[in-house]
Amino acid sequence: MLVVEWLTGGLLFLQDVPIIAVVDTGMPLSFQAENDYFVRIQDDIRFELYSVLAIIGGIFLAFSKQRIEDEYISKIRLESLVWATYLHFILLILSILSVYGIGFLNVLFINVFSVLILFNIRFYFILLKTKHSRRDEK
Amino acid sequence: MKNNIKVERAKKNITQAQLAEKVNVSRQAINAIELGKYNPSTSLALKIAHIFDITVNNIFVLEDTDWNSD
Repeated sequence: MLVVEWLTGGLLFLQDVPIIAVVDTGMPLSFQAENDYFVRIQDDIRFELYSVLAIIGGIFLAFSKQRIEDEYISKIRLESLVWATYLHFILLILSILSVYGIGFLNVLFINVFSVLILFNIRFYFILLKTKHSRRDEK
Repeated sequence: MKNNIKVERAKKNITQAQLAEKVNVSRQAINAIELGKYNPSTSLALKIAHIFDITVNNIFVLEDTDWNSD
């Protein structure tokens, strides 16, 4: 089962919506000889909708200002971004070397969001950790 | 880099949160500075010194290791 299918359930009325595709490459085994450009097609747009919403939501979560936004918090933010980028590429290399077959599509799909997800996890983890550290408080 | 923020806070009898409010940063920032995990910017150091009514040199002190690290 591909992650894509698992993530795009619900909202059945979006299964067959007319849209304009800038590029339509067809699916594997559909015997479409050449790419079509700027064509009207019927498509299941749930995948598009969920992806765009997830990215916009992730960006808002990641880069909106904290209640008290100071230099320390922007330092955590920058560090987390670098950290997330490193981890993203390390995980990508590991999965390239270890995942084979059509399941590799899962890897590609998760990779679209992994920087945002890893960033948010580390950023909010450190914020929460320092928030509750009452060490050395008077 | 060492700092005497905790001592100065004790003298003035203010908490981390109160100091943070006076210099307009989060309490996490003051906590991290006090623990030596974060070096404040020059302007924040000057503000903290201003609150305690002393010079920056009296709060933040260089250590030998500062000359070869970072």
